Amino acid sequence: MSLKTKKARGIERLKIRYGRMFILPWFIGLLLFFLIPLVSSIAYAFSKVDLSNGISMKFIGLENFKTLLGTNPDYERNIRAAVSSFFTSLPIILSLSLIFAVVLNQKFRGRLLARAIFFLPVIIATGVVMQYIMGNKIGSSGSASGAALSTALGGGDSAMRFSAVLTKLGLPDRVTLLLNDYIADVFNLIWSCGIQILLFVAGMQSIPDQMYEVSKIEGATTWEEFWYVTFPMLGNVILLVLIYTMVDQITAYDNPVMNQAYDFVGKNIDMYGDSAAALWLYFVIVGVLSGIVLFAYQRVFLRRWN
Amino acid sequence: MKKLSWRILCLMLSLLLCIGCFAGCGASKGGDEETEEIIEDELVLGDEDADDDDEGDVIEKTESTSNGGSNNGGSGSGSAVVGNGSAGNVNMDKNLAEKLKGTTVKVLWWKDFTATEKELIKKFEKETGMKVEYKYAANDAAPYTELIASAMAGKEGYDVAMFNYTSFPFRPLTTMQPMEKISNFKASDWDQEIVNAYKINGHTYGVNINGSNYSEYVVMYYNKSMFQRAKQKTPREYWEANNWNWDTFMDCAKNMTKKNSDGSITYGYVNLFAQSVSYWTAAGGTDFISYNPAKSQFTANIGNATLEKSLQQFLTIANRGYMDRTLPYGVDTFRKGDAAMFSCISFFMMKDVSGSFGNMKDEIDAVPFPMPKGQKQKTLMDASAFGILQGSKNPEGAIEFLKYFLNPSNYNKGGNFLNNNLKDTYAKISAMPKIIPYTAGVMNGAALADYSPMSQLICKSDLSQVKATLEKYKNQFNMSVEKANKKVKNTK
Amino acid sequence: MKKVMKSPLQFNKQYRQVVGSVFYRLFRLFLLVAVGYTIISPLLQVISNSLKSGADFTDSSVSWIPTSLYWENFSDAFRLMKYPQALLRTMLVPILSGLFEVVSCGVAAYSFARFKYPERNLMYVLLILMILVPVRITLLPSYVNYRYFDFFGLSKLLGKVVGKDLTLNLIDTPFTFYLPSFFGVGYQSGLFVLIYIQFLKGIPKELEEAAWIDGAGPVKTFAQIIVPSSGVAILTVSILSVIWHWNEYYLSGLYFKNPDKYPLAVAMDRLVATVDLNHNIPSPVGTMMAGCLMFILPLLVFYLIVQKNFIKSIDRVGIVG
Repeated sequence: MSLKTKKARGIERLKIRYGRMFILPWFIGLLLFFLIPLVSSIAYAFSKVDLSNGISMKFIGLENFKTLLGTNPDYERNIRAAVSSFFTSLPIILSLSLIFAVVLNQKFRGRLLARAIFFLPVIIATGVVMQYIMGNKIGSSGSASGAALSTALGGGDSAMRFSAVLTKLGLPDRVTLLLNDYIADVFNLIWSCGIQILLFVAGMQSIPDQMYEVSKIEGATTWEEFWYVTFPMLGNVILLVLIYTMVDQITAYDNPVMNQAYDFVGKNIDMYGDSAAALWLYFVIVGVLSGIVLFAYQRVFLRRWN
Repeated sequence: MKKLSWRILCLMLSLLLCIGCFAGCGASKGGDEETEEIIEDELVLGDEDADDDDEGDVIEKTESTSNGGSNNGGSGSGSAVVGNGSAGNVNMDKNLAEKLKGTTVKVLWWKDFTATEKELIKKFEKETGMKVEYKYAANDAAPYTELIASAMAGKEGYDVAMFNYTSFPFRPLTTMQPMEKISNFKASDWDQEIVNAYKINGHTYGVNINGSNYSEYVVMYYNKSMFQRAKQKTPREYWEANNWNWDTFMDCAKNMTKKNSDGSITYGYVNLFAQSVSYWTAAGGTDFISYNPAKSQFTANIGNATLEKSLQQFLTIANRGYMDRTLPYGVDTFRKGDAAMFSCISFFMMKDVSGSFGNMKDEIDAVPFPMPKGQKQKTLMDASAFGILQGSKNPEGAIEFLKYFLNPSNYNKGGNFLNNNLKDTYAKISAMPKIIPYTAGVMNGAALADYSPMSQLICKSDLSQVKATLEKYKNQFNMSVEKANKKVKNTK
Repeated sequence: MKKVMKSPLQFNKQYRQVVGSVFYRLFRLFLLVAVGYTIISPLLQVISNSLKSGADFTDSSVSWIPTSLYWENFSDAFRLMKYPQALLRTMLVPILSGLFEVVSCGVAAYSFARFKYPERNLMYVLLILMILVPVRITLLPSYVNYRYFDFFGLSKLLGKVVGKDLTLNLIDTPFTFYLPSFFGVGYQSGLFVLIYIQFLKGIPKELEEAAWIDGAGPVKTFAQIIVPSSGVAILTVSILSVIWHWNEYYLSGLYFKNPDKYPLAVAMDRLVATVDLNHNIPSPVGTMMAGCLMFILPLLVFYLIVQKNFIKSIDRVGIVG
C-alpha cells in the first residue's frame, strides 16, 4: 500500500514537472512576444507618448482618462452602445448557432450543400472580402472605384438589397423601414454565427456514439435526447463558444469603442496615450462583465449538470 | 524520465534551429531572388502591354501628346500647368549632386505609385545615383497615419510623407520638421500659396508645385448634353459671361430638376459625399474653423453670419429638392445621367482613372465651384502637401526628390484629360487664388467628436435644426480649436 | 434517464413523434432556406458583379444578369494582385505559421488540460488576457519589439559589451510570423489553445492514467494517446488556423514593408487602391469582385476537402432524419 501511494505521489510530482515542461515554450513566447507589448501599452495609458525620436513616454498619471471622460461625449455613448449590444447579441448568437448546429448535424437530403453554405461565413466573415461585400471599402476621400463599389452594392448597406425586394412587394413605407432595420440586424447576426456553428458541430461530433445508442434503447424522444444527452455533453464547447462570441463581440472591427480608439491614432499620432487609455478602460469594463457571465455560466449550468 | 525531458528539449531546439535556417534563407537570399523575379515579371508584363493588348492605348498616347502640343500653343494660359510630356531634368548644384550620390531617399506614400510615377522614379535614380525606397499604405486615412507612426517609433529614418487639409495641423506638427533648416530648400521652387497656407509659426512644413499630379481642386462637373436637351444655359456659359455664382447655380439646379414619367427624379445636383457641406461653407468665405497662417491661429466660427448664410444656401438646395440628400455617394448617379451637376475633385477629369467618367467623354464639362454673388472667383483646393519627417536621414535628397517628382512637366498631364474643355478649365482654375478648408483637419486631429456624422446630421436637417446641432457641437469645435492652438504654441 | 421517460406529458408517444417530426421537418426546411438565402445572396451578387462589364454597371436595366459574360475582370484582377506570387507567399508565410500553431498550441493546451501545477492559474489569466486583447492595442509596441528584437535584453547587454547593436530587425522577414507561431503565441493562438483545452477536457482520462501507471513518459502519452483521440479538435483548429491566417491582412500589411512581399490578403485589401491607380481598368467594380472570388476560391476548395473528414461520423443512429 505504501509503495502504491509512494508511486502515486511520485507521479504527482512528475506531473507537476511535466506540466511545467509542456508550458515552458509557450511561456517563453509569451514573455518575448506578448507581455512586452502588453505592458508597454498599459504604460501608454498613463503617459504622454511622443514618437518624434523613437518612442518616449512621460508619465502623466490619470490625465488621459480625465480628458477622455471629461471632454469626449462620444466615448461614454460608445461604451454604452457596445455594452448593450454585447448583452443583446450574445444570447441570440449562442442560441441561433446551437439551433443551426443541431440541424446541420442531422441526416437529410442536401445536407452537404447546406453545410457548405452555412460554413461560408467562417471563410468570409473574418476577412477582407467581407468589407468588399458590405461595400465598406471606400478608401481615401477621392477613391473613384471605392465609391462606385459601394453604390453598386447598394450604398454600403446590406439591407438595401432586401429593401428593394420589400418595396416591390408593395408594403407601406413605414413597415418597409421597420423590417429593413430588423433584417439588417438579422443579416449581421447570421453572418457572425459561422465559427460558433463550426465549433458546436465539432463538439457534437466528439460525443461518443454509445451515448445515443443507450438513449435510443431507453426510448428517448429526439427532444429528450437533445436535452439530456447532447446539451450536457456540450458543456465545455458551450463555454468555448461563449468565450469566443464574447471576444468576437468585444474586439470586432466595427465595435464603436474599438473604432473610436483606433480613430484617435489614425488621425493624430500624438494620441497613442489617449487611445490606450480608451481601450484599457473599456477592457476593464467588459472584462468584469464577461467575468460575471462566465462565472454565472459555471455556477448555474456546469454545476447542475455535474 | 530525465532522459526523456532532455530529449524533448533537444528536439525543440533542433526544430527551432531548422526552422530558423529555413526561414532565414527564405528571408535574406530568397527575398532578393523574389524581388528580382518580380522586376523581371514586370518588365515582361510591360513588354506584353506594349506588344498586344494595349496597342490602342499607345496610339491614343501619341495622339494625345500631339494634341497637347498643339493646344498648348493655342491656349497659352495653362501651358505651364498642363504641359506636354517634355520631361524636365534634375538641376542640382554640382557639389550637392556629388554629395548625394549613393544616398537613399525613403518615402512613405499613402498609395502605390502608378506605372508612370515608377518610371519617373527610376529615371531619377539613374540621373542622380540616389536610391528611392518606398512603402505605402492602403489609403490616406488611418492606415497611412499608422504607417508613419510605426516608422517613426521604429526610428527607421524615413524622409518624405504627405499631409493634406484633413490632417493639418496635427500631422505636420507631430511628425514633420520645418524645411527652412535644410540647406537646399528654396521657397521659390514651390507653389507659394500652398507653402503659405500651411505655414505654422512662420515655418514651412509642406510644399507642392502648382499643377503637379497631386494638385486637386474641387470643381463643379455638369452633363452638357442634359443641359442642351433641356435647352438651358450651361454653367460654362454663365462662367464665361462672368456670371457664375450661387444664384445662377441655383437657377441651373432648379431648371434641371424634374420628375420623370416613371416616378423617378432627375436631380439638378449631387455631391461626392453627402456630407461635403464644407465645400459650401469654405466657398462662402467662412468655414466652421478658419486658420490665419500669419498669426498661426485657428478660430472657430460657430454663430458667424457668413457661415450661416453658406449653410442656408446648402440647405436650400436640399430643401427645395434639387439634390438627393439621402444619397451617400453621388458618382454613379451622375455617371448614369440621373443628375445634371456634380461637385467633386478634379481627379475625375482624367482619362485614365478607373471608374471615372470615361463613358461620358464629350458630354462632361466642368466649371469652378461657385462662389457667392459679387465675390471674386477663387477655387477650392483639395490640397496635398509634402513634408520632411522628423528623424529624416537625408533631407537634402528628399527635397531634390520632391522637386523632380512633383514637377508637372515630367507628366503628360495635358494629354490625359477626357476632353479639351476640362483641360481648359483645369488650366484656368490652377491660376486662380485658392481656398483651403481647414475644418476637417482640426476636427479630425483633435478627435474630440467625430466630424463626419455631424456633417451628415447637418446635411439632413433644416436651418433651425442645424443651429441646434451646431450649438450642441459648439463646445467640441471650441475645444478642438483650443487643442490645435495649444499644439501650435507648444511646438514653437 | 429512466425517471425522465415517465414524464406525465407522455400520452401517445408514437403519434406525437409523427406529428412532431412532420412539423419539425417543415421548420427545418424554412430555416435552411431562409438562412441559406441570407448567406448566399450577397455572394450571388458578387458573382454576378464579377462578370459585368463597365457598361453593365452604368446601365440601370441590368441588375442580376450581365448582358454578356465579361471574363476580362478575372484576368485584370489576376494581374493586379500578382496572383501567383502572392499565393505562393501566402502559402509560405501565413499558412505555414498557421500550421506551426496547430502543433504548438496543442502542446501548451495539453499542459493546461492535464497537469496541475502551482503556476497554472496565473497561466490561465495570461491566456485569457491574450485572447481578449486585440492586436490593435499592442500594435505599435509589437512593431518596435520586432524592429529591435532582443532576447530578454541579452542582445542589448551583449551589444554594450561588444560595442555594436546586436538587436535583430525582424520587420520584413517571415520571422514576425514564424517565431510567435512556433512558441504558440502567434495570431489567434490564444483561441486555439482554448479550443484544444475544451476538447481535451472531454477526452476520458482513464487510458492516460493507465499509460502513466505503465510507466509511459509524457511525450509517449501525448503522442500515442492524446493526439490520436483528439482528431476532431486538431481538425477544427487546423481549419480555423488556415482560414484565419489566410484572411489576415492587418499585421502582414504592416510587418511587410516591401510591397513585393505582400501575401494574398494584403493584395486583396489594397485591390481597391490598385484598381484606382492602374488606369484604364474597364470594369473596376467587376475587377474587385472577381478578385474577391479568386481570393476565397482556394479556401473554399480546402474547406470542401476537409469537410468530408469532418462529417464522417454524421451517419449515426438516433438523430431524427
